[in-house]
Amino acid sequence: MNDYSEEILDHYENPNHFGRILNADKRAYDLNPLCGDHLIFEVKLENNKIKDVKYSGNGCAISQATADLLIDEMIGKSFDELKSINSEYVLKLVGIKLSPARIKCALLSFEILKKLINPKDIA
Amino acid sequence: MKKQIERDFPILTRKINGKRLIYLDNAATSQKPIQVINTISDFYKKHNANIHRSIHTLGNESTELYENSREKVSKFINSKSQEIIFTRSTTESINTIAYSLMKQGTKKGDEIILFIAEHHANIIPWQFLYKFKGVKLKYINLNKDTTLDMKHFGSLLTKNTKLVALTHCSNVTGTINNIKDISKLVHDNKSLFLVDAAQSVPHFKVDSSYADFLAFSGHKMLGPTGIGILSAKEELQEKMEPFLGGGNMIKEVNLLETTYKNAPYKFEAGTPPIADAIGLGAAIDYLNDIGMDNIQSHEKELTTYALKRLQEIKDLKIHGSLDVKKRIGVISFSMEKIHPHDIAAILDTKGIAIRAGHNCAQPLMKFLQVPAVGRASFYLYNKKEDVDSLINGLLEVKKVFKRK
Repeated sequence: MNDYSEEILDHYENPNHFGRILNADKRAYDLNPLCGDHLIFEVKLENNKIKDVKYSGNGCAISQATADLLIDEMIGKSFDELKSINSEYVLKLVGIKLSPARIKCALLSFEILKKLINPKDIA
Repeated sequence: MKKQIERDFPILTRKINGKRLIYLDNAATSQKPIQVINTISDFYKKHNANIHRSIHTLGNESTELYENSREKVSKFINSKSQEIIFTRSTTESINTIAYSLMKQGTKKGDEIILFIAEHHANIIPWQFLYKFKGVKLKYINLNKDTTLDMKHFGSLLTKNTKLVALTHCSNVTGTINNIKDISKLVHDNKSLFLVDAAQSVPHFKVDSSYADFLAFSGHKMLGPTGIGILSAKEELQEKMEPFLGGGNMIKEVNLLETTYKNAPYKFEAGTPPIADAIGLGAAIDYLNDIGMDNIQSHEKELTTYALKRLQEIKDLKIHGSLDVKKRIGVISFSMEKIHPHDIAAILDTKGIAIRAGHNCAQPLMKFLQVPAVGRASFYLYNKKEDVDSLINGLLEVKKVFKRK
């Protein structure tokens, strides 16, 4: 038995959204000092909607796969539409049972999303 | 080695995820034998009172037990009872030197030498001196086998070097620094020498006389959390100002001025962790009973076996010397394209506890060019079977990630 679903492993091994957008309109960064996982989200906007998001950085399968899954949710929406996303929603996306320490891995992407939504945190 | 040591450790009978607990995170903290647990519980049941204050029977008993522990600690590391200052942790011990001696005793242009493999506890206190006093920090490089580069060290020593603060054993690579040889270089240079012995004192006989200051923690050597030790040379204690002010450390208090007790009491302000200090005494009794030489040879054997077996795993890299004469049983490793956090999580499902992360040594991680590592660390209650379980667990990790 292990915590890793095929879906999580697939997103980790073959991510859809890993990379950089050098001319990004928005950018946010966060890290988990516990384990050193760090992620950057870079966002390209078009007509107030999210046209593309790429993530880069380094981390465990859970933090990386969650980033990939969350970006699937972000593309095509406006930041206003993303305001309804909460931590429970993100954990449901991950879809596997996580220990408290590992919930932090999954929510790293969510912390970054919050920074992107909240204008005062725009990098 | 005494047989069935694990029977003294109640926690080792615990099941984790339905499996027998295999505890390989001893560099973070050790488990506690029943003798230590009972000593702490007995203290609260029978002797609890504040120390150095009350005239009643309990006050006398608690003071005596507390001071007995100080005596045990001093004998354990070959120092004098008066030189033992009880703190809350290795971190607090090192901060005590930073604040009580180095803060007033340094000026801009003075230098402190550290090892690139230091734990954050032996970096951040000195960064405060860099920030507030302009003291220069210099870092000694590693050799290829992660030992300390003595040649580089020699080149860093100057007449401005006020202090050399080094770890005795790296909590990441397990590498042992030869404090006897280093001590001579430091003292010939008329600098002070602080040794972070948090990873060494629990595992082999350490002679504190080579260092001016030796810092370590009770909880890594079978004792409770919340008790740290700073051994500071008698003649230097006189130059040290108290770091914390308050009760217990005073002789006479006036409105604006106070005279302090003599060392070590002047460095123990407030009610100290009395039960924890006494628990540490019981831990030292336990270690002495087994014998530090026996513990060292047991861990050496285990480390030799673990290094051999880990090398059987393809794409696993060990960060540290493979020579057991140069290292202790702290083994950090990486597996290609599998994050240490994932390794630790999968091992946990099999009841195996290892550390994963930067291990409070971010400068070393940057030097090794790894974001994080997995770390297995042994103690006297670990067995060869634990190493076998670790290896099987790591092979299972590869299976989960579909690696050959």
